[in-house]
Amino acid sequence: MDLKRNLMLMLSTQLYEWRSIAAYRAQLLVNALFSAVNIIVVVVFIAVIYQVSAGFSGWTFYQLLLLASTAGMAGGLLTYVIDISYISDLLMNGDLDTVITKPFDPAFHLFAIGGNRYAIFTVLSSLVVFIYAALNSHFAPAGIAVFLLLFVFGLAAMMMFCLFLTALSYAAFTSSRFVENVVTYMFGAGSYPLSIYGLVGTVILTIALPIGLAIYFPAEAFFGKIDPTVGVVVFAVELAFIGISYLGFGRLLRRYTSALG
Amino acid sequence: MMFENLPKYLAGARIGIKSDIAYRMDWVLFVAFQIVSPFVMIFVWNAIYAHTGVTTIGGFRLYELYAYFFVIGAAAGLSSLQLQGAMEAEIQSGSIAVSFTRPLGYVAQLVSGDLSGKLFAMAIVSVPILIIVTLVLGLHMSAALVLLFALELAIGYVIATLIGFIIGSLSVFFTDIGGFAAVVESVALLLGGAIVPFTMFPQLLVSIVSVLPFQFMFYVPAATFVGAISLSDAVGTFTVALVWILVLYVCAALLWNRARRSINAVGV
Repeated sequence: MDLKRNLMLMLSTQLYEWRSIAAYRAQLLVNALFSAVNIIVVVVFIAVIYQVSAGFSGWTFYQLLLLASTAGMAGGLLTYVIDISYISDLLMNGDLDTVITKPFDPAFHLFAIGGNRYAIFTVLSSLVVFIYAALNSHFAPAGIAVFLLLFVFGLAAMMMFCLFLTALSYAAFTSSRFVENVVTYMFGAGSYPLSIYGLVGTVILTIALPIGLAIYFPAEAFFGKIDPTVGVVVFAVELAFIGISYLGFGRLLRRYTSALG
Repeated sequence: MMFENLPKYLAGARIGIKSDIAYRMDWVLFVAFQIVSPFVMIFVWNAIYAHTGVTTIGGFRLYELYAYFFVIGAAAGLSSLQLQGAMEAEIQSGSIAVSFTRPLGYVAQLVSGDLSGKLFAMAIVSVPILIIVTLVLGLHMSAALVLLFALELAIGYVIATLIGFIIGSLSVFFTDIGGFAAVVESVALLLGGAIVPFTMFPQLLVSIVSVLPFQFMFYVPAATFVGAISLSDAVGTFTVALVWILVLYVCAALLWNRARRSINAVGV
């Protein structure tokens, strides 16, 4: 598929949707405000933890805040581009024809049309907390570059994994609504240092459920805590996740049955 | 009147359970995640206790927090805010007009469908989990405590339903209430003690949270179950709970009276 054409689809969809959203200014303002304040709950929780205890081994208050805000940004961006229940309904109702009959890549198309656009405000408020936490922490400038690299590809791996898992569960069980629960659970678990789950838990939350790729390892890299070899392995796993999930999604689409037979 | 409509309520409840388990694998996995979800908080607090090197934080010993989060899981199954989602979907699609024509009030339809599914999941999942947690952690149980716990869960459900109904009614005026609902849900989880027992908050915040309704959805039943608050203290919270139920009920009734007059739907 032509990458330029797919990117144009993404851009034009965004422009159209944001114009529609901007038409209802009061609603935009209210939803923006509410989407943005969600991160405050996380900040309060972490503040309470560090007030009553010594927190997590190897993680200061600001470092944990940065980890949590990374989770906020990843969750917000994922919610912005993918609506799992909508894709699930398209598959279950046989309505995916509207996507696969058009001259675009189906994965790109689903990312372009799906998701909660107000989630961008969750991303922005998390970014503010991220910057605040970063300014109050010690980090190496090189850590920022490694963070960005691992975060962007980790997020792409998460997005493709969600798409793949939705299609896989539809193919296996003709239903995939539970995938939303899986993602919620992943973010719940992935918002803390993976070291608390032990080696087995860390491996599961990295290789089986790739939440660690988008949150924990980028945050570790930011503070220079990650070993270069581990960093390379994480990056390789991210690329593998993107590739395998993309190909797997394409193959699973062949099992899809249209509403019209 | 109540008993005359009983067959209709039961029919609504049957539909609620059937639609919940229509996609069995979804339901099985939902149950599985409900079972494993408390483990995240258990790992989190395990690490915090280990690093801090103390036996008690905020009046809770570690094993009490284990039990606390399993009870929170059970309470969340009943007291999670869900009603607003169903109302918003019906109002957005216009299918609420069809619900109005059914031989059972709209609110009764909503509640019977919602409650039946939650009670079914509670009976199948939460009750066995609570029995196992009680036996494994050696918690002291008495008939009075179990009765009080059940009453607190019921109060938590009523408060969650009224809050959900108020938010859902707002979708008549705002159409998209997703952002607002998500914030209320997050605030309810935090201030209700679902993420951290609110006794660990700073004193000023504890004073504020103690007069808010969210504690009855999660903290009060969980703390009663693990013995973190005495039976007499638990009974003492009922006055605050009853005041909140009254206030929320009046708000919900006033708002719904106004909202239902503004509903427009197109039939086909």
